[in-house]
Amino acid sequence: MTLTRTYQKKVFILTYSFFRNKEDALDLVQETFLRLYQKIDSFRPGHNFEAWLLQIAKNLCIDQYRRESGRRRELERDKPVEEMNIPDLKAEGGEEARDLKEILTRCVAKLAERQRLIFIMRHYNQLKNEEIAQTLGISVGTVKSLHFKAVQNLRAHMSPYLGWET
Amino acid sequence: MNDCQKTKNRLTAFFEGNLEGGDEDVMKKHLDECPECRRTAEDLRRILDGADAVREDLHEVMASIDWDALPQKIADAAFARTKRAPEPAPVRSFWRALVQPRFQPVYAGLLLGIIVSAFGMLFLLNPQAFRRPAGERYFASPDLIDRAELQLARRETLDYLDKSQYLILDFVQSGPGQARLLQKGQASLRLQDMLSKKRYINQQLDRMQMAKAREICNQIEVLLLELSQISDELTAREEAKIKDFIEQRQILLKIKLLKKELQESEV
Repeated sequence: MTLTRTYQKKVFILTYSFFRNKEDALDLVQETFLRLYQKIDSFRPGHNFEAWLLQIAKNLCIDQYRRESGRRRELERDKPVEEMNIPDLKAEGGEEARDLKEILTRCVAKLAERQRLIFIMRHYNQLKNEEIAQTLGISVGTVKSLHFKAVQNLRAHMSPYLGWET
Repeated sequence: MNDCQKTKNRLTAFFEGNLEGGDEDVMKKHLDECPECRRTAEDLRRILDGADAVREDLHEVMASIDWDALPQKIADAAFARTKRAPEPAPVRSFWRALVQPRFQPVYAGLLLGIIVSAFGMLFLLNPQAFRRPAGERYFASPDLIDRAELQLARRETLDYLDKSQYLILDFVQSGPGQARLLQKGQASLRLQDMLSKKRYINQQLDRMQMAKAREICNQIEVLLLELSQISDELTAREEAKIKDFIEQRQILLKIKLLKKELQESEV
């Protein structure tokens, strides 16, 4: 239970950022730790335990995402941004900030799998590039490159709806 | 890489405060001078602000979760999962019950019974199928039998020619007045034997269509017949006449050639 207490929030941030649904995220946290207890013998001492745990969580997220790709939640997430009730951009700052969050959340969901994971880990989990590289099993250079592409794509996705020039 | 591209690549690090002092100054200077990069930087800053805002939301959601209870819940789930004994899948229908492994010996027995019954029915309904036809009880083809008979005929003929040759040579090489010795003892028996053997050989030579051998054997037969009838009163003139006959017909040469041909299986 100590392991769970130590890492449960970090796993939750990843799963929640991926699905934006509290119950689903908690289910995935539980499944991640159940898998961890099943596979604990295969962990090699000396390796980064947190990266290994997040890797399990990431794999479960991707599996779940692919399973549910045709379901209602997916349809909801894929709803075109045009259909969202976006107030006038000239509205007051509080409203605009809430819309920015909403648009960002939906546009992050539209990113390619690895770009999305890297953006979430970098900005929501606040992991360093090295930690992300370990978790995803890729080089730090690739992490930087994919993060840059993620930001560029987010800018491109969000620009038409927030009045940004591209 | 030009300044703009370098700037765009390092904007995130700039906003996160991860640039060295010198690099940060260069970045600021470029942003002051380049409106496009400034615009890009502004957009990125807003994206990062949005991410910060999302993270704040995230913390709000996390605040609503009972983190102390979650480990116990996970431990209970893990315990329940290990406790769950691996039971065989419940049989859902009659047909599924039929395909269970425990019935395999029964199915094997049934299959064997069907096969044995099928052979039994076939035997009862069509017994001829299990009997070998009378003509095929011995597995020798007619062609093989023909070849065996031909070989036998050749050997018999060769034997006949051999013996005839010795007899004729005995007669030819005998001095005047000695020919009548052929009428006595072993020589007489050999002559009689040769004459009776010729009758047996005739059938084989006719059946095997060995016409050339048949003709020579006929000439030999005539000669042997003559020799068998030699009497004490045989004059030297008559003896010389028989020897002339042998010489004129080249009987010894013909015997020799025929033997060679028979040995080479050309007849």
